[in-house]
Amino acid sequence: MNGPGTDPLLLGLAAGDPRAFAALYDRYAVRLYRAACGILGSREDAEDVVQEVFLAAVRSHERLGDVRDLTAYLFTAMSRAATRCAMRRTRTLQASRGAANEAAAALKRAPAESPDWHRLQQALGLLPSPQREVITLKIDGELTFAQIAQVLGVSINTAASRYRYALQKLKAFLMEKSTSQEARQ
Amino acid sequence: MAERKLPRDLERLERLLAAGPRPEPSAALRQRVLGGVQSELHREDVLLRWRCATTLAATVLLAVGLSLAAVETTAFALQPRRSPPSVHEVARRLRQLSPDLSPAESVREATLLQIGAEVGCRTKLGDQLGLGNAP
Repeated sequence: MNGPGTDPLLLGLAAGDPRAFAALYDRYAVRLYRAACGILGSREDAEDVVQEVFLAAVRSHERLGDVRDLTAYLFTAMSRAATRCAMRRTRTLQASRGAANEAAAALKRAPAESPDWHRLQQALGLLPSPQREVITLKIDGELTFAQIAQVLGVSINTAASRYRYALQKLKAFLMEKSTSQEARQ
Repeated sequence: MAERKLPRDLERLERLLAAGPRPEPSAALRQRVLGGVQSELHREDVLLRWRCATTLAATVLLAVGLSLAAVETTAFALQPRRSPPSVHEVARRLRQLSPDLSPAESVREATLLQIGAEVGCRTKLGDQLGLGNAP
């Protein structure tokens, strides 16, 4: 991996080269968008957030040459933009993320979804937002725990533990569901 | 600890989460974002040019101000170079100062005073006779 000051992409970004921003978009936009969707539960809001992240990157492009982890940098910007977006919509972050749960589940549902997938989305909606956010950053953002820790401002251990607890809760929820379904049958 | 291994059941759950359908950004988003990036870069370029222009203008104004202040406080009037009076003129003035000098003596004294003034040797008498400004 190229370090700061040597990565051609970072150098292009720092120089304000539009082609470098196009390459940045192609490399990160989908992951940023999916993570923003997971946090906000709205496609429109997620698109606004992605745009905000790129505009913020342009405005501070001279500093991008010194960024050590571009992925963590962009996802941190995304997380902040998502928070601002939620606040702009005159909801508290908690409420927006809570209210977004159902929308997020609907968003991810596909016509050919499996019953497992449907239950999983329901379970995701029940998770506390810090745990849901970790899941979103890990699964949709494809971040490492070190990057998640940087984005959320927590230690790597905390990020990893949150993720593990979230998966355990999801598993418990799924097991509970299947038990109650069996009992009904 | 960072990427530590998860138990099998949690790993399966993780795979299930990752395998599910994911939302895709609209096709127009790329154009929208890159359009925004372009206009932001252009705006910055314009701002930079304005900043350069205003800096240049401020520098020019400062230089003009300083020049005007220097002109105000400096006397630039050229002093005309006066040619030293001729030997005969100096001799005439000498004779006026001391009428008892003979014409030959006054010419000799005038010649000496003029030579002295030319080599930078100023005397009170030379100044009095108008030889002080000699180069």
